[in-house]
Amino acid sequence: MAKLNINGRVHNVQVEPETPLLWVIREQVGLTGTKYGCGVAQCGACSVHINGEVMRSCSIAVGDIKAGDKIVTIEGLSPTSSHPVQKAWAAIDVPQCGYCQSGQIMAAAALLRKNPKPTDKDIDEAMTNICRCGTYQRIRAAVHIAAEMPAGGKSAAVNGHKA
Amino acid sequence: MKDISSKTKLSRRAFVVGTTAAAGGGLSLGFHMPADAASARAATANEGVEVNAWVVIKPDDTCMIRIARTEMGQGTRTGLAQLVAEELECDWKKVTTDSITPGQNLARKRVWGEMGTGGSRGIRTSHDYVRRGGAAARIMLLQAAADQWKVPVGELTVSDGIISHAASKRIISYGKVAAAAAKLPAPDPKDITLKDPRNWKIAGKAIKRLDTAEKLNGSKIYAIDVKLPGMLCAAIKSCPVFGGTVKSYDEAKIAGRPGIKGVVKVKETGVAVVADTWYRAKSALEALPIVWDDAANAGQSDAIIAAHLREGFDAATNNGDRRNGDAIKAIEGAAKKVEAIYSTPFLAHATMEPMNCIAKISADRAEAWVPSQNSEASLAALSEASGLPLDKCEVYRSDPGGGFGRRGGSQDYVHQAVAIAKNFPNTPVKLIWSREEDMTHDFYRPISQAKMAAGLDVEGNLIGLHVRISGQSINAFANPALVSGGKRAECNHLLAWIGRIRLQTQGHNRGIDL
Repeated sequence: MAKLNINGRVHNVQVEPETPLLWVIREQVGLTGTKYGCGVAQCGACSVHINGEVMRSCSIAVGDIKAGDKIVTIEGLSPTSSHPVQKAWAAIDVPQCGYCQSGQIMAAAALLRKNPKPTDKDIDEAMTNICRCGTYQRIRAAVHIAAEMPAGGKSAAVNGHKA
Repeated sequence: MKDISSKTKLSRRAFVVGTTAAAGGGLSLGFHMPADAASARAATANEGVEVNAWVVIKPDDTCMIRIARTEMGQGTRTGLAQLVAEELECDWKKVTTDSITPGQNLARKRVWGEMGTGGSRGIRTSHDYVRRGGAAARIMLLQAAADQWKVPVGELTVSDGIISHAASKRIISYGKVAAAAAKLPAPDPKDITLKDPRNWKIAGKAIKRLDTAEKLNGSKIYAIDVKLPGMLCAAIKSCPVFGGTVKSYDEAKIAGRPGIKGVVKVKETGVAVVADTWYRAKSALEALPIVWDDAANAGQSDAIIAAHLREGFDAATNNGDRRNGDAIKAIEGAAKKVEAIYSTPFLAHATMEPMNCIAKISADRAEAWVPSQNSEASLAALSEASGLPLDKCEVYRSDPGGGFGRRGGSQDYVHQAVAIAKNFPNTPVKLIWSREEDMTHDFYRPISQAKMAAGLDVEGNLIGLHVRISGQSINAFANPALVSGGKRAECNHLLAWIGRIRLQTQGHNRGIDL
């Protein structure tokens, strides 16, 4: 049994403690915005925030989640797709197939929280998620757009989510 | 509709899947797909009026444009809608889209044409007939207004879905005349004059995509996300050596693990574990001891493949060439010779969304949820694998999380999902490949090398250029009939030779050997 605070809601899940958080989020909790891409923390499709830090949920055992940990998935980043990163992504149509974009957005939101005005180099270093369609140029441009929005980096500080 | 979709996550999924399948009927039942294409059409009628196969108009003037091709990131859904809307003269802000299913296409004698999407065909080979579809709907809508007002249709104009009769200062919207328009005879597409592209207002313009919003908040449902009542999940491992088979596996070793529903041998070449969740299936599969028969390719290695490629460079004969003058002789006599070898490895398509397919098989019905670049090929695979005729089969579409050619002709994962689901009648079984399986069992982009040699004269002018290409033909898999049988057999299915190379051969002493 694990007790998980996800997007401000507490979920009690019956699952083996070694199960990766990704699969608990997808299969037990039923939130499918967080994606399986590689299972070995390489691609970033499974990125979520844990206590404000971006983490690759495919490689975190649910048994290692602590009682007070606050997990935020793409569904909880903002109530109405209104996080500056989501708005910037929409403004310039970043996604192509879209499969990696939940993870990209979570990574970008975490970056802006720590570094509200990142340079291209900062973005390239922080955004290590894989996009097979190759949307990297627009991701970089959209991070800059998000950084210019009112409260761009700031709102990410609370993950855009009210618990 | 919104009430149903917002009640529970499960309902929302059913809603999304139902919408994908143009299935209002799916909504009232909560989960299930329509029994056949006819019920799908009836359900659609409640939602709006089908003016023709491409255009459904709702009373609120929403124009739902039907899309046959696959959207997988390349923007084809929006691009095709733009083409239809351009001729339809509707309000772009009121355009929505709907993906038709291959079963519906089949039932209506392929009124939507080819569904396969690859090789940049989505727009290129359908722009003409989808524009004619939009234009035909416009003609019928205008005629319906003319009939209602009893004025000659030539006196009417239309813009943004609003029909106007200037003389009498009357206007009416598409939504008001759609029902009457649908009853009119359709014009012959051949007789329709399409708009000059110079006058386009929607098509050919850089317009925001119609489907971005759901990719920003986790609400887009890919096939891997679909959950159906009572669904089981399967993980699969095929023999790591191509052509190998399953010798044995020790099911007892995973007995007692939570959630396990069964272990299935799949087509002699693989083993699947079925469980209540995919992670339980996958971790049990990892713990399952499997003995493989690696068969004929047991000794295959990078070194052997490299040797094959070298043979190609040095072979006295070739499989075809194009020559202008005598490049080899010119290079031999050149003041300076330059030579370089360029190579590309075998490459997996590596779609971000791994291969997956849900199959549900009963005695007289086969259904599959497939992220496919060719849903008709998926339907054919479903029929073949299930043994049921095409009209007892249906494939529901989800936009693939990347395609790149992997999900077109090769419907291997559909065959596998059906083979597994047959063991669990009336139960949807979702097969997901692990990333490791995806990289191991891709239909790789063929390996290839090119040896390029050039001869320069004393002044540095190019006097001869010779290219020899050695590699595996993509046709060895995609279209074996194009590859000479002897070579293919001789090379252990690894090396057949590239069959189609074009090189500008202006001037003299240039050649390519294949």
